Amino acid sequence: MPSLKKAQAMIIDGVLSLFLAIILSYSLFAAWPQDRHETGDLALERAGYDIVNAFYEDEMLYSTIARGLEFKGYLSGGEINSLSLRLYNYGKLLGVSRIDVDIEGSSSFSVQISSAPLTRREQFPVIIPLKGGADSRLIRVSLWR
Amino acid sequence: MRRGFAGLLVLSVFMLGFVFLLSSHSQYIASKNYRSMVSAEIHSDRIAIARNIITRSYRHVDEKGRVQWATSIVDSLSNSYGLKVSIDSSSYPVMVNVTDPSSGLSTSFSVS
Repeated sequence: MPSLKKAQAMIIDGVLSLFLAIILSYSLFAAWPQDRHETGDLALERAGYDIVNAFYEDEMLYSTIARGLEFKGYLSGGEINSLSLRLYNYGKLLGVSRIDVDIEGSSSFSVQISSAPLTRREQFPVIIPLKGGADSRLIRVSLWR
Repeated sequence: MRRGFAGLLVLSVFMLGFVFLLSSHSQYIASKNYRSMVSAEIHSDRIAIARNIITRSYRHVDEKGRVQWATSIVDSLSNSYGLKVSIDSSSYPVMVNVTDPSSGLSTSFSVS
């Protein structure tokens, strides 16, 4: 094999350095944690999308909460029972194990759908405008799986 | 001649290493890619959920309550959901911008 001239050696050095840099960068980025946020649960996130829509689109859910909060400022036991039953059905459809509802300025309640151990939770806000928007209540809905 | 051969040998080794690395299906790299995709989808879902909250709650708001509604939306979504919301309630239709500071995703839309 003929010996390499200086220019050829420099070109090979350059190509070698390039490959070395690419390999090192690839290894580094593959090993380095880029997204430091917890991944979260996609199924729960999608269930949250549906449950938030349900609070607004389900006339029974929305009117029970809005009427109770507007006229009394809180939800009665009967109203909570009706909401729990409705949310139980939604929970079964969405495949979640438990739904926690925390209404600002009123009571909180939970709906147990299955007895499976609870491992992950995602929380979603629902904002209910009262009196035409002059007052609003924040409801925190937590879905458990 | 020996020096030239050694250089070519090292170059070949690195090229082979590069090719193997690119085609590697290591579980760690695959799961990291999957986690990134899931994370991106979750961030996108959060913005979609915020958009739904804003558009659907606005249906129950009248002219007089628009400003208070906008204030409570901005406060609630930023405190409990970590999103940056800006609402121009003086315009009609009302213009909204929602940004997720952690991912940089944002969306602008109007509600009427």
